[in-house]
Amino acid sequence: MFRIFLSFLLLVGSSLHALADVQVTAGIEATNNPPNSPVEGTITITHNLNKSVDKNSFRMEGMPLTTDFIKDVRISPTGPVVISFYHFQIPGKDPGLYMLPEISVKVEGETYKSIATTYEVSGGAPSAIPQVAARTSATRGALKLEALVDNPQPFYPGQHALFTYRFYFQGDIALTAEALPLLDAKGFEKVGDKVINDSQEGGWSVQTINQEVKAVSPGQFVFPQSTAEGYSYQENPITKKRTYLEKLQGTADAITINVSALPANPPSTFTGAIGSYTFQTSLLSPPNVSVEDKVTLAIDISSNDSMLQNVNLPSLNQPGIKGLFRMSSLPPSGTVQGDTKRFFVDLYPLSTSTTQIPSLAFTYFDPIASKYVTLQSNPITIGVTTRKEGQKTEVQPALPAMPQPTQMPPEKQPTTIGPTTSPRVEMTAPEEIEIPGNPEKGFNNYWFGTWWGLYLIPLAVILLLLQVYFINYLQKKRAIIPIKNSEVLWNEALSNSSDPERFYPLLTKAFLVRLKENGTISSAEITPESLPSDGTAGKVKNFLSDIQEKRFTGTPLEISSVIKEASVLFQELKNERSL
Amino acid sequence: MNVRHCFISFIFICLLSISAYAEESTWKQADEAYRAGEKATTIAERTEDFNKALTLYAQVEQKYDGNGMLYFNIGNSYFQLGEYSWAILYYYRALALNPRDVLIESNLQAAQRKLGLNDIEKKSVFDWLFFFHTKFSLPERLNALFILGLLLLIFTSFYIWNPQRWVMRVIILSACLWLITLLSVGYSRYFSPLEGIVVKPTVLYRDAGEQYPKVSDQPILSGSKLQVLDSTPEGKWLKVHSPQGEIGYLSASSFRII
Repeated sequence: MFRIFLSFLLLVGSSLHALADVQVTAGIEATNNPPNSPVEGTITITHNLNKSVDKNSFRMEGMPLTTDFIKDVRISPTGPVVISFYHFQIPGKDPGLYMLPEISVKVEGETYKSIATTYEVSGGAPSAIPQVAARTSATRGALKLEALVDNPQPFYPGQHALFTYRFYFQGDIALTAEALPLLDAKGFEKVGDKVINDSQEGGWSVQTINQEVKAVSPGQFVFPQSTAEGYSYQENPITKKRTYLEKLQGTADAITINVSALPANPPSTFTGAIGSYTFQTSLLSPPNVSVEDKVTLAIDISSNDSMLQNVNLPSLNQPGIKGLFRMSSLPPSGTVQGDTKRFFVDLYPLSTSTTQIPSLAFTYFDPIASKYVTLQSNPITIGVTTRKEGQKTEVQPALPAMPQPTQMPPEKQPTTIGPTTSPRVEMTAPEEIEIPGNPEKGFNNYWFGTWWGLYLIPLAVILLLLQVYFINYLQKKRAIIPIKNSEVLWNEALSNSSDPERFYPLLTKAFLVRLKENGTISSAEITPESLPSDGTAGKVKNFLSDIQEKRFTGTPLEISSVIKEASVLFQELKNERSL
Repeated sequence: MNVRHCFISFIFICLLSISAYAEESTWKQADEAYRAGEKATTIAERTEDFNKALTLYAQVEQKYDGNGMLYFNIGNSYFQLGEYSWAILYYYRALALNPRDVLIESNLQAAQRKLGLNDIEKKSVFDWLFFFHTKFSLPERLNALFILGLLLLIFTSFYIWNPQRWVMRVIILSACLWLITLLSVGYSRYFSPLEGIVVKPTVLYRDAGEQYPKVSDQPILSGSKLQVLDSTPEGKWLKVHSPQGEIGYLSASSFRII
């Protein structure tokens, strides 16, 4: 028996000894955790003795987790494996079943995680989340809404917070309305998109919506009550018809978030970093260079407990840089590796009087001490020699852009004219002019080279239409045949006496017009048969009828006698008119 | 027309003349400062003179917007001061108004070489076919549109009163030229792409904000010409099409429209 036990111990010991990896487990100690009381938990880390555990690196759901070291236990007195025990606490909850998320820790710089487990909070006052009844066809459903804000205290502009909504529901529920002001995050800047997770807790289906935000400005931000409304329903599996049972509503109380203002008058080297940081610089290229050769500087900003993504490069417009170095116009973008953000900065010394990269300042705001802290890097000595003839330089991008030219960038003001370089550079002869100078030309504007010229189109259309209208008017006027008087017709008839076909109609027309002029008849557009039978009109009627009869019966007519008779009659009409 | 109207018109004309004279004299001072910069014997002197020239040109630009030579002079000043991306911007603006000027094109290429850019735009068949669209600036085409319109009006009026075959031929020819010019001007106004120059190196983001991931780690070099596709409502971010064929957003502060 003893041999079996010894073999087992050896087996376990050797297995553990053979462990090259680290194992992390986390669990809640008690099985009956009272409601709304802090929940105690233990983290065990199995690791090699020469690999140290970073006690400040415990994280749960991305947020720092405070732990207390309990003890280290060696598996065997001579073996390297040791188990470290840490104690932690999480806030109390209402009775129910919960998930303990993964807990991560760094061992010798590497991150290891535990497996998520569940734990139960039981007993005490009636549960806010009711126990699950047996699901029957009469189950109507339930809905509960929870709103949470996870932010550091105190909370400053630039820091991140997590806005969370949890929908607890049972049964099938169709949401009809929801008001979730935290997801709008007014007054805050959203970081990425919202993340939605589904899980089960104690018989409830839970949908968690997380939105990471960043505080932008100080103040008090009140998010009103959140609500979600819907109907529980039952769906016929065959016909897919839904029967709506009852209206449900879940509400969450209003939430107030206070964002404290950063202390006034921050140092000029403060670029918005909040937390606790270390700062150092290092030279990545050879220290001995020629004028205008590239020197690469690495700027490392590290932090164990603060967000690095939003840490900005400290301003390089510091004494000892400006005027002695020219910087690349490409913006150095930092890369985050572990707990360090590194910036690569390219500098080009302008003269041989440059002997060092000066000490650079980085300022951050410590929220715990509530003050600005400025860190200084060590200066780095470099040697700059004159450039030899024929030595090639890199094609350098231009200097960082100036502000809008119409607003006269400050560097270009006449009062500040002149480079702030060393006297040796100021007196240096400039390079040759590379481009032809400004030609002597003055203003060269086109009088009609504007959009106003398009107004000619409607104007031209109007003018052309007016002309067309006028032309038509004139033509219509010309088309009206002028009314000739009786004398004109009489003379015209006489001049056509040799042509009976024209003579007789003209003669008839002359008499009718004459009668109209005399006022005997109202219109000359009548036939001789319509003339009155008495008076001179009657004579004209008889005369014209006689001629017409003779013409159509073929009786020869002597033009001269007709003219003679017509003249007498015409004269008689004239005399009648003059009377 | 009474004496009062004449007096007011006279004063107005005088004021216009004085204003025009003032602009000319400012321009002349700027030219002198520029030439002094070319002759300077030290870097400090040169910088001071070119800065002065730039200041004066900027004053003229505020009042006399839209002059190709002025933009060219401003571009030259920026070139001499080493601000090549701004120089490229103003050279493009000058080319838009003086498209046939070889000097502007040459200086633009010199500025692009300084920034390591190779933006030689290849001409397509359409550029050759519609050469008038690219070889003539918009003010020139508007001017031609007006003159052709006037000729069309005159000849059509003549035809209305005295219809003759040769007049009809001239009308048809003028109408065709006028229509082509109108289409060219309309395209420039409504359909031609909006382009600009990156004046500060930047990266493209997938959406309008620095919190969004970058389209590529490679930044857009200053001096690059990009096509603007859209902008956010407040105008702080622009959606652009990069020379590499990527589409992304950049801050309006690092970009200027040509």
